[in-house]
Amino acid sequence: MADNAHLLLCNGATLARAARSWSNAHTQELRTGDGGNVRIEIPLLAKSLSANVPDVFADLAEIAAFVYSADQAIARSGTVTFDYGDRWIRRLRFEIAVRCPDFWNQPEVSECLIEALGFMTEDAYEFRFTKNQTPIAFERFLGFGESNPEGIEKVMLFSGGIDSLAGAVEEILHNGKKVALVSHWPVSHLGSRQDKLASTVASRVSNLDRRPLHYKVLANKIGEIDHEHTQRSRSFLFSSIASVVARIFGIDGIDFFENGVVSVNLPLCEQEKNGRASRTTHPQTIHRLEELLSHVAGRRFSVKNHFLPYTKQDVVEKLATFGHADLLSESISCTHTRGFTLEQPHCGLCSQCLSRKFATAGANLDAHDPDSKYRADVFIGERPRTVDRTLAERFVGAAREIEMMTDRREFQQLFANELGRVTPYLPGANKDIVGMLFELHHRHSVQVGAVIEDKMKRNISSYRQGFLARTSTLWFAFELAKGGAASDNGEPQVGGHRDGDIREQVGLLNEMQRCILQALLEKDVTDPEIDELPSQRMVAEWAGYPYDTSIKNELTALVKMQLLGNGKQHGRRGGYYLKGRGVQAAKLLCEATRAGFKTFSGR
Amino acid sequence: MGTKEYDRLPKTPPFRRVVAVIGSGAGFSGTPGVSPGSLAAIADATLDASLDGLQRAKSDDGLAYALFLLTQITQAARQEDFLAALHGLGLPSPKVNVAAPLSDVATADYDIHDLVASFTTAVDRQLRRDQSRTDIGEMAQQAAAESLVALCSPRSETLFGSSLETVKDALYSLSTKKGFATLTQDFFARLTRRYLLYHLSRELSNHVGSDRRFKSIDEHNAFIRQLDDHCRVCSHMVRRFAGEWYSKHNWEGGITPRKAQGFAAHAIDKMQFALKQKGADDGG
Repeated sequence: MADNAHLLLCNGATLARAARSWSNAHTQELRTGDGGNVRIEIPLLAKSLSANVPDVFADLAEIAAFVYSADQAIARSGTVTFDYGDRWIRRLRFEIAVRCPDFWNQPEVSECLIEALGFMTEDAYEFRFTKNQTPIAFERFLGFGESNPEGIEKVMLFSGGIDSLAGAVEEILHNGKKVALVSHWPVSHLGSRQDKLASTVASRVSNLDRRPLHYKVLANKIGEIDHEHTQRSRSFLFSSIASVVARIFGIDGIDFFENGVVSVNLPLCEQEKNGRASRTTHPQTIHRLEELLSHVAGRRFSVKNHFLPYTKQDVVEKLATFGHADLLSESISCTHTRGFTLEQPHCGLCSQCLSRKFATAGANLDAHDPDSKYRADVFIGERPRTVDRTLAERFVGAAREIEMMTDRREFQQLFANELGRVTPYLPGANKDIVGMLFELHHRHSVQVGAVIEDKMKRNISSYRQGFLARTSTLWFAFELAKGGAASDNGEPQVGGHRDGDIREQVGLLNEMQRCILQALLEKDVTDPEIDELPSQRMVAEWAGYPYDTSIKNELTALVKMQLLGNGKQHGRRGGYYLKGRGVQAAKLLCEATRAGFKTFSGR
Repeated sequence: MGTKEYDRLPKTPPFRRVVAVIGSGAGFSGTPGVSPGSLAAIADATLDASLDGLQRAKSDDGLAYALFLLTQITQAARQEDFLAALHGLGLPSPKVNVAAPLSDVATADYDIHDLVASFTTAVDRQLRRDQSRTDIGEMAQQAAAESLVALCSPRSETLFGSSLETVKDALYSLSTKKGFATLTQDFFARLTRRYLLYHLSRELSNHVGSDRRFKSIDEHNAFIRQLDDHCRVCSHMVRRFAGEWYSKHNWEGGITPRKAQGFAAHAIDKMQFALKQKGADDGG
């Protein structure tokens, strides 16, 4: 049996004879209830409501808890060395004793379960269900909440991040719906923030009867929650428990609110293979969950993501339009717990923080999402680890690539396979969906570009003075300015502009190069827009050298050094001009000449 | 929600050499005595550092299945009932996964993306069923889908849009000896680019900056495009024998996944040879 194979024996089930090959696999026993090692608690749901929970739903909650616990407890090791997915992709066999084994062993049901989990996590699953002769009464998982919450119209999943907050505001405060918010409570500090946010939203509903109810779910393997942080099966647990809550209230559906860019989660670079990018609210995940939950409910059970057509910035703007932008400061997007403090809940390095900060900055709502809440500044903070640098550089780089695309064809080609995993699961003609997704991602890319430009303008001085961290997001972005982002004199800024750097560079120039720079400064050729930029021959003449290969080579070298620009870079006939850095270099040379130095020492 | 898992390169001597050949960066240092090299040299060093991956690619079931399916769907374009032929290969009809009944399949609105979505679904199903998914299989699946769009899209889109017939015609043109050679070359070029970047993407961002190999993010993006061109040039060797292989085996009892795997192994050897040769020619 392969090293990545794991056998999970749940609630006393034993390995089937037909699956003996699994007897050599790493084996764990999981059990709910008293003395068990898997916890399920919905403390604010009253025990009396358990009568509304059919056995198949009770099974679903336990199955989800077992799968999630295994997902947490079994490490996807082998990520640094290249094993091409061998240990990232786990093989998991679950033997589970349940209340309704005949239902779960139906091929169409178990296939649905395997397909849904397989897509979400990219692990390979096998399930066999046997009869649990002594199942735990479901009421044991419940607590002492309100026993008769009437009038609930919607059950929505509430993570406490920006998207679910905006969804809650839209449904509760804007549409006036009475909503049950269901949260998974993975760590205590996040749970308390979710509580506070839900309470604040509730406090803005004047009619007490219409206030939302907030149900937190605790589900994990006791004492072993940190072996694997990726938790790709989390939305299965989340939606399974939410469906139980929905069933209790007689509602046939649950609602997600997550922006389309994050939901589809296209790869930013080639190392993102096989679930390295999460698929929590991917359209296929949503579809497969709907299919599975409909089987469990015995009728159509809807699972919807209402924010698929929006970018995160769109969602933030929506929140502002509803007049509740101030709630942004209470929301938490980052799930990294290391170093967490109430004052600085966001790490500033992960993909959620990047996505959040670009969105709030793009919507001009920095004031409600201040930099001080981030342990590392998203734009100008150091990114000491390669993985964090790669994430920031590719976040901007991929957006840049998509922004340059002129129509959906390039997008469709580059992401053909990823789009092929989306379109069959959304209504409408495939080509229209591809068009919608291209527009969505293009809009996101333009939004990212605008934020970058704005941040560059604000940080130009620290960049020039050499204070900008050379591993920061903005450092990469400043280099992007070659393509046309503005500096204070309107010229693209490329390369370090610290005075010391320029002096050093000037000190390395040869005589011919110096003469060229000084000649161009003397003729005041510093603007690419002037009518007639000097040709190579003319520059040679001004600099006092013969027009030959040497001067051509030196001109090319000066362009590469970013001291000279060429009109061709601006779509013109050609000809040379001094770039901002070249002007500074030429001025230094002139000063040195005036001071009587024969050579420029760089000091 | 919306997380991504990245890693850095292993600190083994072959990968240290890759870092050195890319140039100075903000990551760990490279190998003493090795200086920055050309794109071809980078590709060559990456191949050297990932020989294990190349060996595994030759026997990867996902790669073999994606290639096998390409051979079969081109043949399906020769059948009168194209959709039925695709269905027989395990490619679901458009929108069959959603509630819409099969009769709702609007063949007049059929688009290359309908074919690609069916292809992706079929490969995903097969690999999940066989529990044979790997990162290499995923690269092959991506390369195959990308090739289908790249080669069929321009031919299937007319002034009046595209339809089942125009997509079928576009695919038919790839079912000839010459057409399949084109498809195979394109597939292996894209697969090789993805394979090289799968490794390099753990390091390239460290080399973006005014004093580094890529002066800007745009230069990094341009490098990725140039790598594609490089792989395309090297894939000419595959083209030479792909057409022959396709027509020979179609006559001799048809192509099987096993035969496709054998062909893939041979093509990978050819690609490896071509990349090494190009690396040496460019002074790598």
